[in-house]
Amino acid sequence: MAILSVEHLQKVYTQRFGGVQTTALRDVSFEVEEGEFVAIMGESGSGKSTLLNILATLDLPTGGRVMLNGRDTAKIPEKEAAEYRRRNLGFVFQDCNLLDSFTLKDNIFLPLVLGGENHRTMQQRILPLAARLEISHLLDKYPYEVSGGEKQRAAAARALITAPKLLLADEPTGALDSRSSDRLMEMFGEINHDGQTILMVTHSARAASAAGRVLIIRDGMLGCEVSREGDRESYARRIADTLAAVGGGKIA
Amino acid sequence: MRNAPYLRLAVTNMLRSRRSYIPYLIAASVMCAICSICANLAMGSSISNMNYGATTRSMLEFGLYIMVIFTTFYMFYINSFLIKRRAREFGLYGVLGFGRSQTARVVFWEGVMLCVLVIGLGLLVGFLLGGAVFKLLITLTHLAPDSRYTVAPASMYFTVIMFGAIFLLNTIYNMFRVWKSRPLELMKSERSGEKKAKAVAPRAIIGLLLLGGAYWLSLSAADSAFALLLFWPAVLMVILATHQLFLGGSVAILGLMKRSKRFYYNRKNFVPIGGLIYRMKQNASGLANICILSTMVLVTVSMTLALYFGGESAGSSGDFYALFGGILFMGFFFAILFLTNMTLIIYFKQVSEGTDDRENFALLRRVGMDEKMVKKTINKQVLIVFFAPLVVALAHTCASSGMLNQILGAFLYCNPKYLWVCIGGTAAVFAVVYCVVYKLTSHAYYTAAK
Repeated sequence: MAILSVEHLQKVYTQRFGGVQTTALRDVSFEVEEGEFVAIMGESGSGKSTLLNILATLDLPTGGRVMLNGRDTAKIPEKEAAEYRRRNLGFVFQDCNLLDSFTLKDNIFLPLVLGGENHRTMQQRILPLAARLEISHLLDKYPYEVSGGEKQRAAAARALITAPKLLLADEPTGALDSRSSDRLMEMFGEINHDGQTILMVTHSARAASAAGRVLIIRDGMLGCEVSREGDRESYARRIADTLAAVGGGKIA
Repeated sequence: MRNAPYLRLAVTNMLRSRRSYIPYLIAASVMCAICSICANLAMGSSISNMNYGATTRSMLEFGLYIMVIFTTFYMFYINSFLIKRRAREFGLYGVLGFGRSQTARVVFWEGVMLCVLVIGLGLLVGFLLGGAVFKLLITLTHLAPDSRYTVAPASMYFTVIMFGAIFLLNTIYNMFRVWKSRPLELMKSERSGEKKAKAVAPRAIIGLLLLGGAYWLSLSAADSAFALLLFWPAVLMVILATHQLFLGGSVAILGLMKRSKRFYYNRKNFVPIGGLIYRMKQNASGLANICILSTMVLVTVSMTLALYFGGESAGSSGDFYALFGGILFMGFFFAILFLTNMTLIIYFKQVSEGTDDRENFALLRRVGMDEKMVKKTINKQVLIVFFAPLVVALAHTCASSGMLNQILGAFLYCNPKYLWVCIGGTAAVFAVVYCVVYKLTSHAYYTAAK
């Protein structure tokens, strides 16, 4: 069964005054199976961020619907939305992921603290996760004391500590150098291998080649799809070529 | 004209950051108006011809000197606060290829415009309110009630020269800051203030010892000579202690809270405690200043009230009214001066923290904190930060009563209970004013954090 199904999603922004309409998403449909790692690509303005915001329940669609785990996300009452997000979704963004006022450990604990978990459960959950993401030695450091790649790994740990149904990542490698990007994508691959469903929005064909399937969006429509075949290099090249053929996009 | 583009840029800058410039403008104008009124009363011929007028006048002159010192100090303090926050903007100019001398020229024109506006507004308000204030003084000092209020040109020159000099020095300081700095450093300097507090325990201990010492000096003061001699040293000790305690003490207490895992990792406490510890190093001096200003208001007003009413009931002469009416009058003016500054500092704190916290709250919402909880967290943080100074100021004022009573005793026989009534009344009114200021400025925080 598909864990996430997006059906004819449409988003039109209407300006408050003047009534000028901008279509961010025209008609987008796709499904993500449990345990899949899917990347969404497209140039800026293609509607990627709008899509992610709707999936994150931070924004509402103007047409179509999003079913997560069999539930229509638009029908979640405002009051429950925050809790729903905490229980079912994990987020990693491009930057501003961590609060400077907390150590990495406390940042990772944040969703659990908000969920009212006890301290012992938190400790038990963080140990294997920190080891997996290789940040065990950094847990007592503050965000401004570690590198960008380490910050993103801590952000991933925070997203994963609630064992979410779906991990949403918005340009997670956007602010990283190529080595840290590769390392992070490698870890995303491993986490996915362990059974975590991941949906990632990215600009970079190289980062996208960590995913099993790449969806390309253009002008608010799903352009085409590339699936993993052959080695990583040729896969990445195929993604880049398709992207260029569909129009725009960076090859990096 | 060669200066036109710089002038235009200066105008645009000030309009764009009007959220900080309008309060600054208002506060500076209030200070200017107060100075012009006091200068006019002290230098003009309105009072000096009356009976006992000379006493009142020398009283006002003395008050004016002290006022000049305080006003200058606060104007520097607020200016340096404002200019520090603009470091990033100046850095951006540098990156865009705007030379330092060109940026300095923009800063110069901003200074000129502010100076003209403040002096103009201050003199205007001073002129409009001068008559009413004069009536108040006449009533308090029981001087000839039918005397006329006149504006002395000398006092206007004095005000213009004094504020002109303050703005000149501030503008030179601002230009110097722009001149000596490099673009990249400037871009970074806004965030570098947020470091962890050091030497927490020693600070807390030194603060406690100093405060204990000062309280003991005040409460054990047995005669007026002793109290008069040690009043200023005790004030100094309290100021130092307040600064140390707000930094060391607050971080030490929050550290203890953090140590208890059950308390710290609780959804109600986690975010506020983390935020407070992080911000304390920056917060501490601002909070200590707010606390000291509040104490000054409380002590000045209750002392002058006690002098006036306590003495009045003890029986009095014309000379008495001239002197103590003058003191009471100055007391009110100092209270307005301190209150204006306190409000401004609180306002700037709220706005700057709201701006800093905006990203953090956006993140918390995404991680699954609902709007209600975000509000609760903000409230808790803001409440602790703003009511701690009030509570400490009330403690300082109560402790000062020992010395104040002895000092009052040096001037006139006075029942100690008068002082307590005056302290109580002043504290009640002040607490209300403080709450109003808090309410008004916390709105500024929310808008900035949204």
